[in-house]
Amino acid sequence: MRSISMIKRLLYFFVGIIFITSCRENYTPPEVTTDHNILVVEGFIDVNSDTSYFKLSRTQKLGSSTSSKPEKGASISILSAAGTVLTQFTERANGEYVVYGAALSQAQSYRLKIITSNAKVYQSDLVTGKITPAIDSVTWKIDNEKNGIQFFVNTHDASNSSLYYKWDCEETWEYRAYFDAQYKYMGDTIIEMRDPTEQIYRCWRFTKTSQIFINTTERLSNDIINNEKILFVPKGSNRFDQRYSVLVKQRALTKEAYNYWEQLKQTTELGGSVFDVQPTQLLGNLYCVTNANEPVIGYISATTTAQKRIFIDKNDVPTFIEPYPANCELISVVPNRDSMRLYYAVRRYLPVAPDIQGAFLAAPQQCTDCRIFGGTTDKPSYW
Amino acid sequence: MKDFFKPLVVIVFTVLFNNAFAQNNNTVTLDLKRATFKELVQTVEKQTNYYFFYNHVDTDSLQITINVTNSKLTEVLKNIFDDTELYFSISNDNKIFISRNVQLLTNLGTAYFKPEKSVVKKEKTITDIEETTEENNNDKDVAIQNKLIIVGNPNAVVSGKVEVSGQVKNSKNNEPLVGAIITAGKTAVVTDYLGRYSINLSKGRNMITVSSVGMRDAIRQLLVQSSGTLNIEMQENVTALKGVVVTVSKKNSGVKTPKMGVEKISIKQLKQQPVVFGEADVLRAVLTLPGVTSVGEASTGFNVRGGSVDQNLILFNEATIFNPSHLFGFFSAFNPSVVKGVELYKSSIPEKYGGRISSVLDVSVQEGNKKKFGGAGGIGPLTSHLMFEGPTKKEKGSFIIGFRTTYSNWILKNLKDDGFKNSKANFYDLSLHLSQQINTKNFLYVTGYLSKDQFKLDKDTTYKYMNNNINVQWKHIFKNNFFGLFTAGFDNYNYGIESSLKPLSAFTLKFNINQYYIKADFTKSYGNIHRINFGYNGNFIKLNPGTFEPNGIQSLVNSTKIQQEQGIENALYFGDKMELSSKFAVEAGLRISAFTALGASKVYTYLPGMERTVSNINDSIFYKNGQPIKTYFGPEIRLSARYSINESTSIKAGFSTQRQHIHMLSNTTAMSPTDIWKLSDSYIKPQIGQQVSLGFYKTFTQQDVEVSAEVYYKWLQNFLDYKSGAKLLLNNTIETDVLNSKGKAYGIEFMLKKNSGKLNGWISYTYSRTLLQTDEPLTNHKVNRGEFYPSNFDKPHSVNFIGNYKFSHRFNISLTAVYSTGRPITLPIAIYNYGGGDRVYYSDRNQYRIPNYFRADFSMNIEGNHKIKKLAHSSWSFGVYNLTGRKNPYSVYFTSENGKIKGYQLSIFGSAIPFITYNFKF
Repeated sequence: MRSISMIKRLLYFFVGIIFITSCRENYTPPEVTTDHNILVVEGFIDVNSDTSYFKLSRTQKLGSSTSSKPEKGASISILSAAGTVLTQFTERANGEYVVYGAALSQAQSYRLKIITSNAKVYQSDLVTGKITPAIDSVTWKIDNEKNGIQFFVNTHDASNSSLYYKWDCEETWEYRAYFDAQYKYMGDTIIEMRDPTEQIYRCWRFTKTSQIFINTTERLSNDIINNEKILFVPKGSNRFDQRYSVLVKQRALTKEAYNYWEQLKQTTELGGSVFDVQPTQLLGNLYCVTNANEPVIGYISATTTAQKRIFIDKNDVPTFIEPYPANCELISVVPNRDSMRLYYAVRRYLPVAPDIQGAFLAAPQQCTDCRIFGGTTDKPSYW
Repeated sequence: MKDFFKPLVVIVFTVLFNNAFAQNNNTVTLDLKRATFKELVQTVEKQTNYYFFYNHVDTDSLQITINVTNSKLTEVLKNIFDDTELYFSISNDNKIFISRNVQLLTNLGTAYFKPEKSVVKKEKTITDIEETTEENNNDKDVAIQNKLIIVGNPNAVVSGKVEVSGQVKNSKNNEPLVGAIITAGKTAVVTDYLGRYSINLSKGRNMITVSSVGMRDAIRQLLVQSSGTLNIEMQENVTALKGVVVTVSKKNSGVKTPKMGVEKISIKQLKQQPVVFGEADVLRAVLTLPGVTSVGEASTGFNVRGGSVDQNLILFNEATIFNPSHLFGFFSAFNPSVVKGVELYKSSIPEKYGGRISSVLDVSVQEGNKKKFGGAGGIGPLTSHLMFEGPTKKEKGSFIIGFRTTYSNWILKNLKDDGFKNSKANFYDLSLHLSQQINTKNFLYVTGYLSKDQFKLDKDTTYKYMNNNINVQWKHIFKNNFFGLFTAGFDNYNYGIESSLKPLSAFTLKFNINQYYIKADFTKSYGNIHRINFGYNGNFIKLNPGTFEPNGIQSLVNSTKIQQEQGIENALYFGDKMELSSKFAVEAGLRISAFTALGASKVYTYLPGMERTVSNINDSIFYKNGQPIKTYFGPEIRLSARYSINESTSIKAGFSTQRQHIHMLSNTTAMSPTDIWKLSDSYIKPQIGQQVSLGFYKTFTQQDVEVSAEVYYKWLQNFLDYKSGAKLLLNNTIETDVLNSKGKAYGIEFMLKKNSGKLNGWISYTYSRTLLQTDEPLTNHKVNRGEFYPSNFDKPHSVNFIGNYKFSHRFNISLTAVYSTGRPITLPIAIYNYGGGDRVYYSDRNQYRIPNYFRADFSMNIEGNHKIKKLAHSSWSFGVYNLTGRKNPYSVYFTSENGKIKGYQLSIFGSAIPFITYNFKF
């Protein structure tokens, strides 16, 4: 509930600030040696489109470098309330399972059934489909105090039945290398023109936010979400150098599902006030059929998804354009084999443009290859 | 009546006949080795016709080894009593009187038969100090101590013990002294909360000693003729300033009273302890007592012997304070200059108190000075307090008023962050106490208390909470040994949250409790043998669990009002303190308490045999306003007994049960300001606590050192715990989120206490455990699968040290050190990726502990000179809180930052905090 989180803020502020003496330090918990290896199920039964995704993984020991270990080779199916198999998922990669072409009615109840490769059977409780209203708008504002861009979402449900909302934000942005390397080194003394399909000058980067954005209108007379704060992007990245886009996915949840996400948020995002709610083992609506004592993590909801994408051009936010993260200068590489090998093969320079007398102007990789900063050169369909 | 005449007859007969038949045989032959005085007496009486009259108490320490042949008895006795305080005198009728300190005149004065002017009639009060001035107090004191005071009517015919009663007061302001100890030989009685006492003395010469915290011991020589009244005024200890001298002197009191687990702190002692922001703090002082813990430094309330915070009844002169803290627990809500002292009952809770199962913290208010106007105050870096007192009617009536406030806003203003610059924090509290003597039999008191906290965060959310309390008390003395105290009062606690930043969702949230109560309490004593206490408590509670309303015309917030709760609590009680013999004393009490939850209310019913969940609701029943919904009824037993092994050693045992009908709902670790209270209803049963305890007490009188050990075991029933993710606020079906639990708590407390001297203080060690278990057969939400788990405040080991050293009357230092095991926490044991970020999977509840807690504080008190004729007396306190600067973790939490889990520990006080306070008195 909103008021509660405000109080939390308030309290944190008191403890943290009035009494300037309070302090926060890193804490390393006592080492846990047992690997609990609990099955984690994440995803939605999408009753809107015909595509649903699920991700299966296993918990890892605290302190291990990766947080999730994909669970491969499982079979997932959606059952009707009567228990008949409606559709079967196929494994895509890395513990990701997908189903296409499942025409699921919104008003029905469904159950998820998982059989893992070690032949253990897991099931969810029955979940009833819920319809998500459309997003009215996604807006943004520069927040000078916090030095970043704050995104907001607005929606409403005239039938007053959605009440519990969850938003996911997916960011995409285009950025460029410092120089457009139009040539490529082919070994020996050969330099060729780069095909446009091989360009490494324009890149797109894609991330999903790790934060949980939820809110409820259960205490309001109208089911209206007004300027709900969702994603906040701090200044200091290359997101706004060219063009930036965010896709907001909205899902209406049941009260129970909302409670699950709220607790997940509480225990992993809102800690640190004096009045923290005691953390508890958060289990969802899944259980292990084979072994009743085995915990399963995850909450399955059946819902439709509403989405909206907006773009921010670099001209809209000139102050957010960052200087290029590397010092870039061109040097001229003379066309002899040793020089070319040294620069292009050993030092990984890329030829940018022809210079005089057969030489090429070249620059290091961090100035010419945008992929070095984590993006891909594949232009997304919506760009 | 027959017995009444017996001594008279004896006297008459002895006078008439003894002389006539006297043999005048006054030599004895004795051969005794390590004999008692009794054996000597028996031997002498066999050989002679002398009869001994003596007090066994005076002579039981004598050991006599003598070998004489035909010696004169007078010589023998002289020999025996040579090195003792004992005297003997022989009357003409062959009676030998053994007396202590004074020699009796065997020729009785005429006053013995004919009353003279100095002899006061029965029932008439003697106030033994006349109007005295400050300057000659000392001389006067000495004079009065040597004066023989005659009590009662010499013509009265009495047998056996005679009852003397009266009131002990502070001579300076006429304030009654509570808990003063009156000792006469082996008998000791304690004054009640009105300073009244009643003691049985033998007829004739008696010496009584009166001791009280912070007071100079008063000694009175009495000649008791028959029952009568004696009021005693005591002088304050040497220094004139309050809050200077720490005298925790309760001579032998720990050993003598049958009560167990009672701790007292006087305001003087309290003021000397180092404190966090330079202000004497009642609750923090309580936390230094054995058996009292808290979950952390910024938490309201305290845990007594494994009980939760809401199981403590906090009384401010009979008014229930629901939230005893300011600023979410950083300051206790009591103005130190108005508080007289605090008393904490951990196990032997007197039968007159009820309604909470863990403890009673009785904060008593000072009575205003009945003789002259005065005041006191203190100025600290964050808060200041002021007190003003004086007579409303000379000697008869007085008032005391205290005010305290904070000015912490200046800190906020100086912070760089704009968000905080616009924030505000305020609190104040106001205490008032009026007392009026109407006549010798009737007294009237009025107590008022008000505290308010208000915070505003960055122009948005305003948060406030308030305590309002008022009561009127009337004391009536029916008879010398029988009086009643009648109280009527009103308690209110409320909080509210207001948000206005987003017009569409602006809201106000309100919660309040109103409690109307009447109490009638009667005390009647039958000599020293029985002291009977009985009475009635009636309590009507009206509770508004939450109203959520739109704030402003644009707001779309739906008005939500959780239905009001009301209930009536009735209790009748009867108790008797019995001094069965000089060695054995018992306090037995019974309290019958009943609670009825009343409508108007809609009560949901759930499918039988199913867990209470929203989906299992099958019906609802509507109860009309005032219609009883459910009644709970049960006895509460309060039993304690003391057996004295000898003068300085005793063992005690106790058993008590308590019932509680109002519960605080909280699933946060610390008591949070949004916690609501809930009355028992069809589903929430009363909490029941049972405790057995056993203790051993010893005093070393010479050094004024007390050692004690108490062991206890406690059972808790219907303790409230919550399902994961329980919503406690604005929940119409709270019973679906609550898990009834049972608990057990046990422990042992050791304490070594030095009450007086240049060096005084205490050190205590406590081992204690508190375990809970879900007791709800139908749920599958059992905490830790229904196994026992440690409660949030389970801290097995704790050591407290409080030491004061007085260099002079004007300078003393204090050191406090506190160590305890870290409290239990639930830690993550696995990590997983969910919702785009790393998440953690938690262990079973409370399976780990935060690092151990240690803190040392130091303070120094410096007084101005003690010239009595001074405009204002002042003192400075300097000190350092958390001397070692240790970062004691308050909590540990895990948060997902950019999708990665990081663990943090939060310390409330991360460094040493110096403080300085200026206190004054005028």
